[in-house]
Amino acid sequence: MDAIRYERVTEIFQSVCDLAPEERDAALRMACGDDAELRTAVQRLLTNDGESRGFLEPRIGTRPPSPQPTRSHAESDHHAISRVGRYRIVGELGRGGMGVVLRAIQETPRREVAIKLIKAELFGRESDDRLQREAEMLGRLRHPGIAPIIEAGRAPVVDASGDSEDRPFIAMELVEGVPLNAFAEARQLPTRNRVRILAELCDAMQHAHQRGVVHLDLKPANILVDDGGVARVLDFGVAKALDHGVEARLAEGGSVVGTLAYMPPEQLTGHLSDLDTRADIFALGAVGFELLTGQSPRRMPSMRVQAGAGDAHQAARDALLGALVAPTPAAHEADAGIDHELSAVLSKAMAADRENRYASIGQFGNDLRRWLAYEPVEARDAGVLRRARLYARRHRPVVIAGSIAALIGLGAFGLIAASVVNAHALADREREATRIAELAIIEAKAEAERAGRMGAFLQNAIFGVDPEEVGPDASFFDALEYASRRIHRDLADAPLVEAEVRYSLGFVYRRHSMFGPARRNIEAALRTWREQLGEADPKTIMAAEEVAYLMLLVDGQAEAAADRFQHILELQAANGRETSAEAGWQHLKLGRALLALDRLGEGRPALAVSGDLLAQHYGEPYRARAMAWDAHTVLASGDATQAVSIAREALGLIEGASEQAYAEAHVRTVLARALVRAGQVAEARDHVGASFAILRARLPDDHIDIADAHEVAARLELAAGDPEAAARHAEASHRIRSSRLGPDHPDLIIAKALRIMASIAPTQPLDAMHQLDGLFHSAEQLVGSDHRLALELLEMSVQVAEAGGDSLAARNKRLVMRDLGERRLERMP
Amino acid sequence: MNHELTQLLDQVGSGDERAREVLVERVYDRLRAMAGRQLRGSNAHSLHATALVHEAYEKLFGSERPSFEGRNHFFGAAANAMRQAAVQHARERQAQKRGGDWQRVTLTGLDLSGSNTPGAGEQVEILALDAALHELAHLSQRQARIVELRFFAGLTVDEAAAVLGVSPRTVELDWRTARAWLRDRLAGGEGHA
Repeated sequence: MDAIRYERVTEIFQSVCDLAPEERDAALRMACGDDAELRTAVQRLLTNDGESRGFLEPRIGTRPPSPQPTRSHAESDHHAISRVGRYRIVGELGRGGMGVVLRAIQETPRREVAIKLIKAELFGRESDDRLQREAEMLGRLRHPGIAPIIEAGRAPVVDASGDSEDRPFIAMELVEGVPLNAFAEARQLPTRNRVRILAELCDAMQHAHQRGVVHLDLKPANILVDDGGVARVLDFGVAKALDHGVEARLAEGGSVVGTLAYMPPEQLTGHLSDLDTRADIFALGAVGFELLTGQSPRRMPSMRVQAGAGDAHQAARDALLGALVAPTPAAHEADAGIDHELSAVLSKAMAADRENRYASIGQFGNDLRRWLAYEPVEARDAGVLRRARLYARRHRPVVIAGSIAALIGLGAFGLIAASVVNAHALADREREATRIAELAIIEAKAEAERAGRMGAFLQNAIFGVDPEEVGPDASFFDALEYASRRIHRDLADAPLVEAEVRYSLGFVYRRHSMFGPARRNIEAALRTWREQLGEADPKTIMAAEEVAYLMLLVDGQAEAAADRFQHILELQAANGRETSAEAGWQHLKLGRALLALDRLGEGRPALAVSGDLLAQHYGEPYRARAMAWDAHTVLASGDATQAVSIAREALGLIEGASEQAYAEAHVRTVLARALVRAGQVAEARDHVGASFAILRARLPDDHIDIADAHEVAARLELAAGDPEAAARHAEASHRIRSSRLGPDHPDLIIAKALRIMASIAPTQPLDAMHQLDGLFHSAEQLVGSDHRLALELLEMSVQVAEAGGDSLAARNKRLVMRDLGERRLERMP
Repeated sequence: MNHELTQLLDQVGSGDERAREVLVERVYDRLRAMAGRQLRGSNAHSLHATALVHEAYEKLFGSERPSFEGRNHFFGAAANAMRQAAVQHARERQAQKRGGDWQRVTLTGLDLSGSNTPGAGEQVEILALDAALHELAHLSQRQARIVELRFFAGLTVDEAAAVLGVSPRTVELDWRTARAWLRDRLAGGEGHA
């Protein structure tokens, strides 16, 4: 028989083997026809098939049975125990995988102790030396956060009938207290207090680590907190002393899951002796995660691990290992109440790769204290840079391909589409860009030759990024940087193309809050266009507008910006373009500038024109962009109720509309701002949250728009009576703004003021008052004393003066406030 | 060591035949050592195919968790190695008994089948099975592989299907066919003629 023949035999056998005998014969006759040999071959297989049940059959799950958990042993025997060595047993404290914990009395010095009686089968006599050695090391630990070990070894265990048996035991000082999580829940501890406990635990752990002792079994149940709020770590070094690794626990079955949840990946697979202090860092990070979010950082399978149950054991084990090696989530995702800073600290402690964790548990503690002090945390900085690098590495082809497509396909406006943030954002912006660009292209004097050269340049510049020049981690911005450096060299003979490219680059930089390079490139483009095309050319106007916009955004020079916008609008009107889409955007920017100037009466008409033009050119949802600023303007004039209703209407326009994510974020931020003022804090919180979600998914964390959301969030938390949360937001807002904005920007002043209100005013109101007064004087210089910014600062100052009991200062300030308020009303129409 | 093996698995995954040979060699050494240790122990210890393969896998790769594909390749290689180990062991046993009774070394003696009575009171002679499997491989490579995976490595139908990249149903039918053919062959049938 050959393989082809056998294949045929197999085929027929398989088609008839499940048939009933009488059907089978007929089918066989049909299939084999008059090939008797074929039929005989199939028949033989069928005969053997019938008789071969069990032949060669492997038994499913032939794993050798492991011993069943022997809890009952420990449970059954302690009742009878009256003494363990020199300790008199008076009761039971608890029981765990390793055995039973008994309450005992030591006679001299007389004290209460906890005796951990270890299951004999977990512990061979050959391990006694190790147990004693570890116990000696543990005995050297002296720290208020560590429950000290008294001794360990083997002692006669005497039961009631007087029989005695040597058993391994560990004696430690008895700690009265409640497990960490139960304590935090019972007292409803605020986040800051929980973080403080965590930092103290870091101190205790550091004490041990510095003496060469690791814990390796940190979990909430091993941390008891006493009435005074002092947390103590129990069972120090027990895991190591007993050499009680993961395999041993898995073999025990049952109780291991709760313990495994806090173990780092390397502990799950490696041997105990390979582990170091970083395993404890992970475990304490996991403990902290649970303490702060109420959830375990690991989604453990709900099954119990059953020892010795063949395939079921394997499946359970696989599921378990799967859960354990999965990356831990970010705390702020598990609980929206946890801010990104704190979340980053926990994530760093729980990094899967121990190389990426804190180098020491002390550093973990330091970062927690930094967070408590509202200082920037280390984890965050490293995390952001790292994530940015990783992102660039992962998405570089997509990002660059996307931007190239946009550049070449859409001309100058297309670069709006380029995004380094993520692929979704890229798609969003690409659609937005396409829409704008389509209109722009119709209106622009498209020059095929120029566009071609520009495309070729960018293609060369960006695709040709030389890793040796920019490094292997080149991001999209590195590519842009590289491109801008090459512009002059490659396009020296084509200044108009150079200007086009520079304008595009500047636009992208501005959209990413990278204002320095944005300004350099835009100004270069403006110079060229002004010289070559003249003042009134649409391109010159476009670049001038962009320069003015940067003045407003970055420097807060609202007056100069407003003048330029007005001038540009006049030029456009002279060109008969007063109803163009560009005019719509310019009115929007003018409205923003007037709002910044507190010239609210002039601002609203500009924004109304803007809304009409944007709606006319791009559709109704675009009106919402102008309405958001209108709501802000109305709010600034003091009418929170009307501001809320305008913002709501704007939200209605864009909800459900595509391509409006950024507008939606802005509208929600403004709506939240108005709601806070109107006293509707809960609803405001929802909108700020939604706004953060949109922005963070699309923008780098230090984008200026995110700073605005932080500002509103800080105001919200102040109104909600949570100065701690407010301080975090104020800090974040201030940090972003001080890195992005010029030193004289009014937004920076308000961020500083909020920081003072949140973190200084609650404890030292008079200090806060003096600092606010200082800010008031800066504001006076910058925007004038009858600007709403100055008035708001004064209002805050009054508030803290009253809180600090300085009623005289408060009264004087009130008088000034009334006077300035009247002046402000006078200058408004 | 682990790193080298993981690399080997990757190479096997990308179709490198040499890597496959090296891998099988490594797996074979390890399995043989483990099987030998177990066989030298008391009679209470029997050789459990699945347990051995899983143990070998964990010992060889430890915490490095190669891709699922790599795992399947490993099981394939392990099955082959198990077969070689069993055959080798049978040959050694026969050599030791040279001059005495030529006892047939049966698989039940190793409990490879997981049952003391494979089939209806039959015992499977391992060298004969090995020879028959060689013949079967000429007729159907896949059926021979399935026997190797199921019988020597103790894989389940689903695991074997994953290793071979076919459906469990195919494995089930082929397994049934191969078993019938082997039984016929070992009973002295001429179905292969």
